[in-house]
Amino acid sequence: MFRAKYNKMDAMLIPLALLFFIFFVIPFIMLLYNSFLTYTGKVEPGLPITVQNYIKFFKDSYYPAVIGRTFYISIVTTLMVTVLAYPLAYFMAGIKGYLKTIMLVLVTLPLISGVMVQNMGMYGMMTNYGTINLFLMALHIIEEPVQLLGNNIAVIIGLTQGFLPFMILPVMNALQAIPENVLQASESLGANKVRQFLHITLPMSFGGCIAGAVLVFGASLSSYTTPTILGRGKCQVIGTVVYQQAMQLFNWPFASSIAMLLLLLILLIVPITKILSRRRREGGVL
Amino acid sequence: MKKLLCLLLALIVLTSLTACGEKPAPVPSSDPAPGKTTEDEANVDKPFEGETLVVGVWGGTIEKVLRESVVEPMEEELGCSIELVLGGSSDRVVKLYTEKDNPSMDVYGLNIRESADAIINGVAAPVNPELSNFDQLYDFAQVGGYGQSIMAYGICYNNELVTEPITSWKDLWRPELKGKIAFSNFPGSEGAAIIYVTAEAWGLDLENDPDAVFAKLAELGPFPFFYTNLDELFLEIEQGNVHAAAIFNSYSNDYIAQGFPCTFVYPSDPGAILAKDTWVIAKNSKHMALAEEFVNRCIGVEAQTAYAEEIFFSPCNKNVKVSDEVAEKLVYGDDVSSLVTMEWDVITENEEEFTEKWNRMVVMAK
Repeated sequence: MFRAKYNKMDAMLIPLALLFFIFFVIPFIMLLYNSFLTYTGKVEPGLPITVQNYIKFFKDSYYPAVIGRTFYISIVTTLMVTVLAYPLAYFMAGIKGYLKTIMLVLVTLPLISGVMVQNMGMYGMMTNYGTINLFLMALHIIEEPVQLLGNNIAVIIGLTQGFLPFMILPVMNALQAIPENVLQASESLGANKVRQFLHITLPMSFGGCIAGAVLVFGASLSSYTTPTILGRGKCQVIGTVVYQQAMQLFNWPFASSIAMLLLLLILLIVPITKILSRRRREGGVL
Repeated sequence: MKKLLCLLLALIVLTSLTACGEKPAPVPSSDPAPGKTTEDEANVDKPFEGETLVVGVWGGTIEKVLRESVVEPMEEELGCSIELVLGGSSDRVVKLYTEKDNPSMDVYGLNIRESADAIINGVAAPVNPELSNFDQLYDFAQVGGYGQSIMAYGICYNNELVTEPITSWKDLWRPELKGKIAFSNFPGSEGAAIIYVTAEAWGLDLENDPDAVFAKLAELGPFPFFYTNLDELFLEIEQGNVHAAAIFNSYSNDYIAQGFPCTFVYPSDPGAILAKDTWVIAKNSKHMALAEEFVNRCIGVEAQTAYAEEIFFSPCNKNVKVSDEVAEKLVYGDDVSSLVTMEWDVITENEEEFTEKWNRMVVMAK
């Protein structure tokens, strides 16, 4: 699969490279440049070049608190997604035929419906006059509607639901890649089901979990729609703060610097996952 | 395979995140076709034949009444076409400033502050007093853009749950209303108005001691939510999660007419706050004459009457006459002079700092 030399077919990468260069690399450089400009109070930032935007971020305890909240939400979401997705992925890896197709369609359906539709659906269910409250009141579990929206938990539930497919698919893929004969070999050597799962299945699907976790965590960190809709203006995360700075205050330099810091944080996660998966390969125990 | 899958998923994330973004900007209207002059001579009564005017405006009921009262008659009489780009005004402000040399829209519907700033910053053309309907506007509607409708920022409350009527802004601080009040978020003109009102009502000095003002606002918390959508707000008021909300009169009358159990008041101390929807024309619009014709019709008696009668938007044109029944729902006649003109400068100059204080003290209020 890997080649040391280039061949003619590599020329087919040029269109994508161009697209990437024009729509990502150039805007990224502009964003980086913007983050060092000075806020003028109007839309267009001006000179001189300054690091004030970055200093401002750390000087005021409000912004680190926002980062903290965003991380808390993202970590809990990733854990919830992992715990919920793994059994389903395990089940789906073991089935075949129509049932599998149906399951795959069901799992990916939320992705196709779009983030806005999903969130409005969750919103409708979780409002005081929504499905959940009406159901609980009908069963007399609660007498008064419970405020479910407008807090971190609502956002975590929304993100968990939305990002579940990002975990299910890579984990299922990893589970399917475990060779049948490895499992048979362990059985012939006398391992029971529990031991087989703990020592073969789980370690061998760990890569899929890491891939899924990176996707879920990254997407949660930069989420905007779910905190806005389910947080009802009360759950400030990095995404909503960037929006506020860029679109409402027109402070593009500060918004750019927050975006840069967010990117930096996401980049820090990559080496962590590398270390985790290397430990696995070297035979470390989970 | 795994890498491929990851890439695919990343792509899906990206598309699903951007899918909820705004609509693509419209293609700037093309210049008149060559050979237009000969056509013009043949078509003297349709001087704008073939021209396209792009107008950015709020959607919903506003779009409907604007189409019926201005867009359709204009297209028929003048032969031009008018494209409406719908959305909130903050998106339009970004476009107006970033596209100032080559604007994609000609006419912008903005709020009182945004339009005044746009003219001061030189991205919107100053008002042209030569327009034939200009003199019919109230004085305050002749500055900082062309006034389209007057808004009064007051209080709307659930009249079944709030038994003792609310009459003053200070009534929001009654102990039984704690935790039952909703505002719109700041930054934004509604958020700015409530900050201003709090300072005025309690005699606090917003400029020198803003913390006292925000602390006073925080006393009303915890806030059930910050509304961005009026359907949602009125459902919450009806359900009793919100007892009172600070809101513009025009919108609340619309919902009261639908049967929501609400009363709108023009509170005292310091009074209901004057705001207006305003038109400005991009300074470098390529269709200046057509844009001015559009604005002139919008501020004319006919369109202003339609706005008042159909969606209860109070007219900025002094010559509009409506029935008593409609007038009751409007800021009309003598009412206009009773509205308080807000001093925006302190808030505009300190918007950043106030946003941080709002985020920290009001949004997080316990």
